[in-house]
Amino acid sequence: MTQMLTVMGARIIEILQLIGGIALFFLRTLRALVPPKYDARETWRAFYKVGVQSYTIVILTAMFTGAIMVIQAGGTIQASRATSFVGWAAGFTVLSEIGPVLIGLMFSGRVGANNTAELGTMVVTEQVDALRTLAIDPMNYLAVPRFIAMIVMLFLLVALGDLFALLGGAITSHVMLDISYSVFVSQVIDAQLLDEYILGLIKGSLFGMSIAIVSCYFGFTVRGGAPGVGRAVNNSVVASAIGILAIDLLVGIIHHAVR
Amino acid sequence: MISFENIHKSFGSRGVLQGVSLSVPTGAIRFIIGASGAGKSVLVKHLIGLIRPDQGRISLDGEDITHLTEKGFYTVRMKCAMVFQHSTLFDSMSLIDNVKLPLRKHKNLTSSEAENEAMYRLEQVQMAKDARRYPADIGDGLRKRVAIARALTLDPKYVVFDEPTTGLDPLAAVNVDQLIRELSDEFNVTSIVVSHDLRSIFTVADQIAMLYNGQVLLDGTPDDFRQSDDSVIRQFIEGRATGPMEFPKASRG
Repeated sequence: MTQMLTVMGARIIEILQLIGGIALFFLRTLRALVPPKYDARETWRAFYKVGVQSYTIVILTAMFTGAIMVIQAGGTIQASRATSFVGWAAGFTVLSEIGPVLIGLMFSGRVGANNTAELGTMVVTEQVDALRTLAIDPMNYLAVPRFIAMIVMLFLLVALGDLFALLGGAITSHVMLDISYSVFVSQVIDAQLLDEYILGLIKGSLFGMSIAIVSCYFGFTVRGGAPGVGRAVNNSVVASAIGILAIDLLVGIIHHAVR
Repeated sequence: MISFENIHKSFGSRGVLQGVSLSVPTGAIRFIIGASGAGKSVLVKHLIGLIRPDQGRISLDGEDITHLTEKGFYTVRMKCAMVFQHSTLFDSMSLIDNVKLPLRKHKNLTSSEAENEAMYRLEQVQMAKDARRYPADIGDGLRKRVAIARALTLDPKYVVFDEPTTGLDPLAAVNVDQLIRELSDEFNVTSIVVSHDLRSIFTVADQIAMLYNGQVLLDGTPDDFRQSDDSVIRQFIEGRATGPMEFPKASRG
């Protein structure tokens, strides 16, 4: 019993240390944003890597998400002959909830994991130390560009993904429920989902911020060579997923409270 | 002038440095030698703030730099460059971009001026023809040459070379030795060289310090080493596997 409590206590301390470390890293990143001294080339590279190389996977994820929403609701909607709600149902769930969360999770698995691996490799091969010896601050040079790029690009990717999710929903509605594209579009417009769309974009930005901080933190704190990088990537993906779901819950609660 | 005074550094329970004191006069080439794990790299990393001592004092040009902050060390690093043992070129950049990076960040140069300057530095190490290649596309020896070119871009007064000739072919190693000598003779650059390479040690060094069991075993000229009767030094110089030398347990440095 005592041993179990000791192990549990140690684990809790470890988790609290991790949360504290991530929080401090977040504050250091915010501090490094002012005054803006980050490297334009590295920032552009981060935008390219984070955004341009991710949009295909986001489009695919979004289209599948929209299609699945319609498939899930299709049976009930057809049985109750409430086909006029298809656009609303697909739009409501995709724009505010499923779209940003799934895109965020895909983004974390692709971009966040890649970022941790890249930074972790730079740490174990002393490239980060080499930057320091060149009197270049790794926070300014490496962390800040990634932080900005992930926030901006996940915002834009969610905006883009939402459109493709609706397209996926429209195609599935047309094929499965025989609802024309124009009717589906007018249903979405009539549903007045601007609030949900904006809420999804806000979530996207917050997810981007969370993924950036978590993935950079685990990358910069790698210890133990190549196995350490593997562990860090694993931990980064898990922590990012938890962060996404926690932020989703928090924003949902706040949104519900202020509505 | 660089001065290490009574430096102690431990990792866990193992005391890697246990009271190391040595100085490097301006313009001199000081070799630091010793068995693997003796703490040579650990010692030189103290100079640029990558490792902080548990005890002792480090001064550069008379200024105590022991307790500088990370930001405070940036001014030290502008005049004291380091070439790492494993080159540490940035994988995501071409060779010329690696060399251009410190120029872009610290020198107020136009893009073409930075390009020309970087190309000149690459020519110095016979790497200009490979300027557009990436670190992953070339061998260890070539990477090391580019790392030297990058370290010299800010015209440092001091350069720390961590095993600069390890992994180089004999001809390239001689070129690196000549470069270190030229830096000292023509530009009065002070070099600290961590090395096992006996040929380099006895052809380039002005002064040699041998670390053993966390302390300086002998501090002197190449001739002092050649003439030493110390059995550990004789074993090291003669490259004998057996002898009185105790090898440190596996650890950093």
